Amino acid sequence: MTSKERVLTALEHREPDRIPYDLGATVDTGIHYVSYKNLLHYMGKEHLIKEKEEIQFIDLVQGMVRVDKEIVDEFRVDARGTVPSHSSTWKGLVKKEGDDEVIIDGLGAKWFRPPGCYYFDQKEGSYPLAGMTSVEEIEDYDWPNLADPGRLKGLKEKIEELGEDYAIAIGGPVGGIFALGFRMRGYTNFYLDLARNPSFACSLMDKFTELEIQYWDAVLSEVGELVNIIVYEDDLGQQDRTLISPEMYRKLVKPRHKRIFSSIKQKISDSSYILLHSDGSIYDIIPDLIEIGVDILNPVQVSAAKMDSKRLKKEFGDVLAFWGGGVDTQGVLSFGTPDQVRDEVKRRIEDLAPGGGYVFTTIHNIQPEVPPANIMAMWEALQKYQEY
Amino acid sequence: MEVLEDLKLRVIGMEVEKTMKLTQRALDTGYSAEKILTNALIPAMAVVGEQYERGEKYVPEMLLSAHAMKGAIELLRPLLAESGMKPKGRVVIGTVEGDLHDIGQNLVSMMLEGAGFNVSNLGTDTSAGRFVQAIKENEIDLVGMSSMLTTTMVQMPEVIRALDANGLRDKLKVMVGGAPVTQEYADEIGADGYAPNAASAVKLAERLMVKT
Repeated sequence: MTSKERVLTALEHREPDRIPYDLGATVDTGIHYVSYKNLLHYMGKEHLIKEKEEIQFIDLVQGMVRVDKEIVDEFRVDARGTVPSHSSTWKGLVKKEGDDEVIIDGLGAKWFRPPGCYYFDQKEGSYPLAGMTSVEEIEDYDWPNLADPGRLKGLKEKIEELGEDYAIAIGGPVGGIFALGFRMRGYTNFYLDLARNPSFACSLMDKFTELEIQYWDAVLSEVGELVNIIVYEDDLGQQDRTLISPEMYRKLVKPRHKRIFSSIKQKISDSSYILLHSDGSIYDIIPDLIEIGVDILNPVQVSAAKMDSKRLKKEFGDVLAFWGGGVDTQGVLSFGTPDQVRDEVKRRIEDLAPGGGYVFTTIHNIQPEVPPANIMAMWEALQKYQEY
Repeated sequence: MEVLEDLKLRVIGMEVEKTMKLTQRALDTGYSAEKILTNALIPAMAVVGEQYERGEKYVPEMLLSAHAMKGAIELLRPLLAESGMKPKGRVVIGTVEGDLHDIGQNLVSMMLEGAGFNVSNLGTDTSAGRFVQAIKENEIDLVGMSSMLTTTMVQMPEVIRALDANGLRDKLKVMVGGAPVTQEYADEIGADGYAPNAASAVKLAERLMVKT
């Protein structure tokens, strides 16, 4: 069975020969450059260690490296992935503002990395629409074209290089339409918009929707036949509940998500699937997500409320595939012992693997502080319990 | 309807402009700033906190009520200072070093203010040194620390160590929160308390004040 067949069988909710594995096919199932370097040392693979300037990132903001082919081959990674190329207006890598490094993202939001920080994040000054007060002003903003031809440049070649034996994932140039509200208006502002000015919030999200559909149209026209997993990144949950009430989600956000997913579905084959990445406790809206076309859930944050792996599999496993849930990353993977990691992997596999519908990966990215011994313990446990 | 009762309902009802109008009307009626705070604003935010904890309201709603209340407090602040009203407690709060996430701790700050605490928010990426400095410069009862990342939560014990090294640790209480933070972790690092959300953070702060 090829890797591709293995993944697709699982996504068809049938048991393949063994549980498929992902490391680095998406920007949220990868590994930070610090923990990757530590892992390479641990494995005696010094020849793969690069100087910071030469590291290839799949996501600069989170510090996610492109994992070397030697490693993904050795780890028997079944899913491989790519991200859109830079827009033709891309101004180059990281700038500086004061002491902070700065990235400007695909819609013009700023992300800062102060000295000593491991990631880029947002703070005061990040939000290009912070001062916007009315719907009329939305068209005043100089909206980048998310379907800029630069995005497609070399994409086909990049995908072909990954190999036709693998399941291929592709993501977007910016986060989802709900996340964009926060990233463009600021967190406090957008929360307040949703509560006191929902028509403004919706008009904004309509704009994001329009731009994203243009992107997916362009990308899928170009490489739709070559990809199997469409990665849509949109955090909808916090630790104990959804970020907004299920009622508010259904009223304000769901119709827009539905438009995007429907548009995507029209352009992909039956052996392609929509993966939603959403952190946090989203149990209360999982039926809504299934209804509007989400096929796969990632990262499956079991440490969040109502997101226990056993429960999710029982209640939704017949129609929803799980891509993640392999090992808790808010506790065990970072702070546990290798034995605890192994036990955790065994437990999650027992919960999520039966009947297929499961691709193993960590719950979100492998963070900088994760000890290489724990990464290897996770992988070894996967090898041990992987066979169906 | 009596103006303070009306004001309380408007805050709970997330009505920002009405909150400002009624606060002014209450002052014009002759109520002291202290009375308005204690009899209308603080009880209103306590109700909002309860609603949030019960799952009847989510962050947007709680934030909008807090925003309305904040506007009212701005109106009252100069008068409260004049009256010499004692705050329920004095708090320094910040997101730890290396971490830029602030919506959670901003909400905690607002809810604490809405409960009658005096809050100094140090912002994000706050080093142990800055925490210590802010505390040394003032009479502080409570320190609140937030982190959203497993990578940065390890700064919390560093801050506690720094407080200890500066002879400040036993003069105040330490409370912690943030997505990866748990009660177990709080206990492990010697914090005095952990709260999973802004509403319960207020209750925790009130409990900790009783102990000081």
